[in-house]
Amino acid sequence: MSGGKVSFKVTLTSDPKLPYKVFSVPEEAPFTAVLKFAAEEFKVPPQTSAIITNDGVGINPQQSAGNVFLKHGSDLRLIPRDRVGSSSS
Amino acid sequence: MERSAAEKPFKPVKLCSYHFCPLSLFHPVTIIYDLNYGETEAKLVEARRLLHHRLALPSDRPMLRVANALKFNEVDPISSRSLEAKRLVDVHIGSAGSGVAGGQTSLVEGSYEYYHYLQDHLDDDGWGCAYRSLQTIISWFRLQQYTNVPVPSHREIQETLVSIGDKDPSFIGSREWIGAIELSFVLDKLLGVTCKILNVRSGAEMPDKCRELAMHFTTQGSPVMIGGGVLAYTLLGIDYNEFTGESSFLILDPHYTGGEDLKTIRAGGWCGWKRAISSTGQEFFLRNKFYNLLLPQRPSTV
Repeated sequence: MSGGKVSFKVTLTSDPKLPYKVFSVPEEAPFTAVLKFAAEEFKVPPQTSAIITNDGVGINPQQSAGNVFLKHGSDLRLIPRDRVGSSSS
Repeated sequence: MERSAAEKPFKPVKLCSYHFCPLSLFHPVTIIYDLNYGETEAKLVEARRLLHHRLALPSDRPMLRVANALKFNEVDPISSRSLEAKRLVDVHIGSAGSGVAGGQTSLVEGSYEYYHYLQDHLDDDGWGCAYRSLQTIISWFRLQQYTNVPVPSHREIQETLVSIGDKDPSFIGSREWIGAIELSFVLDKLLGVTCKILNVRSGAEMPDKCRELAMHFTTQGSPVMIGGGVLAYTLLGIDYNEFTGESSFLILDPHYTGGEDLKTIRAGGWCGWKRAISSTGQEFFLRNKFYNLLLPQRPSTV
């Protein structure tokens, strides 16, 4: 089974034009690599980006690309991560 | 019991008996569980599914989990970690109307506990609001009997994020902010709960999400976490008029630093309806910020 590749179509949802890119990676590649490539291609910081499915389900990038492909398919979205904490004044 | 011993002959089993009386049964049943398995272990899910089938119980909701068991001696079924005043529940009930004329209201279903800044002797003022929103959401899953996993502390939330590889070990004990994505990871890891995330490009677009949020409250009924513009909120309901576009959001604010006093909470607006645009023209959701909405899904499981 090793040596196979999986492809993902990642859409940048923060851009109203909804640009997308297609990435092909080895199945065993960590999904963090897909997140990093996608963020770099769209020129957004990978540390403050996350990938979710088309239905909006969050994907933990600490798993293999093959795993993500099997569980969630290939149609994904790149969104910015919110980080919140400041007390309101 | 024999099966447990046979499967793991050298591992000590932690058997415990629980009594259940789901509504559709005429008599209570007793089930013996090996507590070595966590609730979301696939093996235990399969065992419960078989039991549901044998007892002709619905197969899409938990009824035989440890959390569903009859409790005989417990005075307070809500295991609150607070050493002082009990945490308030369902603080939205009885609050003033939203003010939206001809609106359709959709609210959270069931009970939750109000978690906010400074509870449990923890000074999280300025950094812990998303953590508190997560605690409120987990309390909802507990009170709806989906789990008896205790509501995690801030440290336990951080440890979970480190254990799944989302954060470095230096994160534990820090005052680092988290957001909707981290909440979804913790809910998945600790409770096995899936969440949907709605990304809203600008606060000005929040009213456009009212229909979807109303659908969420109708079908799922769980509290929603809103993260964006540096603030976290818990959303408990929506009131909107689809013809006029007027909308109001029932917000439970985790930034409250006072005591467990319902009057103070109501008077200070810490739980109440907030219009997208107030009568003075002030925006509640900022147009130049994006927002992530976390919609926890009821597990269709046993």
